[in-house]
Amino acid sequence: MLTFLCGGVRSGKSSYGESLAVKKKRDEGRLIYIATAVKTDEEMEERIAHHQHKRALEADWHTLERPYHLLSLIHEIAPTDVVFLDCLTTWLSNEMFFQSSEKVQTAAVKERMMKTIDQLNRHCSELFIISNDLFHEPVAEEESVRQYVQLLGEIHQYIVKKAHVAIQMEHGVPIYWKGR
Amino acid sequence: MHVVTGGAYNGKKVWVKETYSSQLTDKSLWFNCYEETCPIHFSFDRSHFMIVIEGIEEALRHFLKREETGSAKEFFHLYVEPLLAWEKADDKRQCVLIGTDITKGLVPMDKEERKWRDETGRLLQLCVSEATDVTIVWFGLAQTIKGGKS
Repeated sequence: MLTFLCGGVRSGKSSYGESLAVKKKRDEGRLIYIATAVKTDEEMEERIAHHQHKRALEADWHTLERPYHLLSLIHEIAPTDVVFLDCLTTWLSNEMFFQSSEKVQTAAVKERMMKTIDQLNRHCSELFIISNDLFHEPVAEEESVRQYVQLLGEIHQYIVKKAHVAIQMEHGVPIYWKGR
Repeated sequence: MHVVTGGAYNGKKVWVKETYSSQLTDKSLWFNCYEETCPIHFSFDRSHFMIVIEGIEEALRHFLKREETGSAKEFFHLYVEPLLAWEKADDKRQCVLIGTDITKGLVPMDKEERKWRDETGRLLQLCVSEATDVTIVWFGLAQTIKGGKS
């Protein structure tokens, strides 16, 4: 089962998604949180600490930190686990810009990420993917930014097609485009 | 007139192609405003049954570049109203406007960008008010918020 949540910053997508994930937790399985954010500065550290603290209060989350190459996490995940991937936007930017300064092979990045999503989804009981909506402003002229937005949009379309549940978060209110 | 909107790279074009596949024949015209030679004046004649404008906000941007004091209202009057009149003259005619909703991000620093964004909001309102159908596409899924006969 795949659930996709997308919304603006501070739209409540993580909190709402987490509450859905906690409900899906099985007695024999774990709640796995895949954190893709890298601690780059103080503000980022605070954001991460805020999310960690909230999760600790709500349920017993098991956190796996991995900025990219998420396929390598497969052997740490059991078929009974609920997996929560937060979030697609940082994962994509890590895949595109974090690893090397070489020219980004967008087709290869897209292929790799779609394959990873499929594998993760097959491998656990429930997969939740969180992402940002950044498609409602003029697309940047700068080529690497434009590529990033295009790639993210294409991956979103792929995920929504595969998802059982697709939710747009608007100021804390979930709008269900697919499933319930 | 059918207005199809939504964010960038959300699958709007693909949705239009699938929805109107039977009408997109050699009797149809497709204007792609994202191409370098962006058409502003959409030329057509009575032999056509279907007209699609892809990226109406981009056509507006080119118009505003050319006409410094131009506005969405003027653009609508000059280029969208003829499409509406053409469509009205024959029941078999259908016009589809695809427009990217660029109105929800940060306020642009650049004055021209800011004006373009404002006028795009206004233009979409004008188009939507005259449209029989309005559809929002969200990553390939569609929600029709006005009309919806087809």
